[in-house]
Amino acid sequence: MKIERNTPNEPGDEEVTRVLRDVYAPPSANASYWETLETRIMTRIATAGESPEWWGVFDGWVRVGLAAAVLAGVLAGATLLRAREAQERLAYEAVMESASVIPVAGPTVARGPGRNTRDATLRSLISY
Amino acid sequence: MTLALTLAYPAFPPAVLSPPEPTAREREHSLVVAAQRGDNESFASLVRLHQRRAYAVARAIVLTHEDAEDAVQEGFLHAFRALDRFLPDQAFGAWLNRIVANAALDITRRKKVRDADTLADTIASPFRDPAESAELRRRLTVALSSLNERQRAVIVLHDVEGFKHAEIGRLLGIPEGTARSDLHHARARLRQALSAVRSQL
Repeated sequence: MKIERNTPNEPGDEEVTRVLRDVYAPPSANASYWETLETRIMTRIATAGESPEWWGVFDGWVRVGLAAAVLAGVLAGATLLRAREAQERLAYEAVMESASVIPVAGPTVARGPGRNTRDATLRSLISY
Repeated sequence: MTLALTLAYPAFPPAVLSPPEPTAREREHSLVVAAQRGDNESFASLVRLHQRRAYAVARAIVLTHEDAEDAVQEGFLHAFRALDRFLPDQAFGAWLNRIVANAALDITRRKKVRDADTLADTIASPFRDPAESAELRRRLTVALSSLNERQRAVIVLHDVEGFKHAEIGRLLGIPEGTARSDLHHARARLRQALSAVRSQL
């Protein structure tokens, strides 16, 4: 691989440079040109300062916007968390309630003597 | 004792003891610092110092004198807005020229002229020497139009403005080797164009 360390001058390069310098000659001969350009540059800067870019209007609102966004994020997170907890509690309660009314499958257990005695006592009190 | 002190510390004339004149770099540094504090007059002085070089950089990249002026104005405006981020210990000119080069490249991308004839017409400077062979210039501008924008910028920055390969690389955001290679190809193309004219004349 050939590594070119420098750009050697070849015959004709001087002429290329000379014509290039002629074509690209700066308007340096006219001193007032540069004064005018300086004035135009400073006017452009002053004008740009007076009428900022449209998004510049929002510069002052950036911090407020960021704070509002963070607050909104925290609120949304808290609301989501509470909603989730409520949902879980409701689901738990629903499961527990439905478990208490589940019909018992299988043979009915005969009432014990305690229950019969209590019923008889209640009936005698009512009839009395 | 007095003699020894006199020999060790010879009496300098007051002019030598006064603080030395600030160098151009120190003056520029103080202007930058003042401009960063909001002194527009100091920024105007920086414009005065650097506008010619900035114009040359822009002119090497864009096709017309008018576009070069626009690029210079845009470049200075960007620099003014980004002045707070500039470290005053750095070279202001190099920083500014990079900004101007970027502004010029933006303009070139926006106004890409594909037509070689149009390019040849627009690239010619209004400040040319009328004594120069019109045919030579015409051929050169046509040959310039056949180069891509990067090669054109590289050869103008190198041959006309005297930038080094590494500086051109930094300005255009390309490796130094690429700048070197672009210069080589651009020169060969322009040399060929001019030698063809010479053989015909």
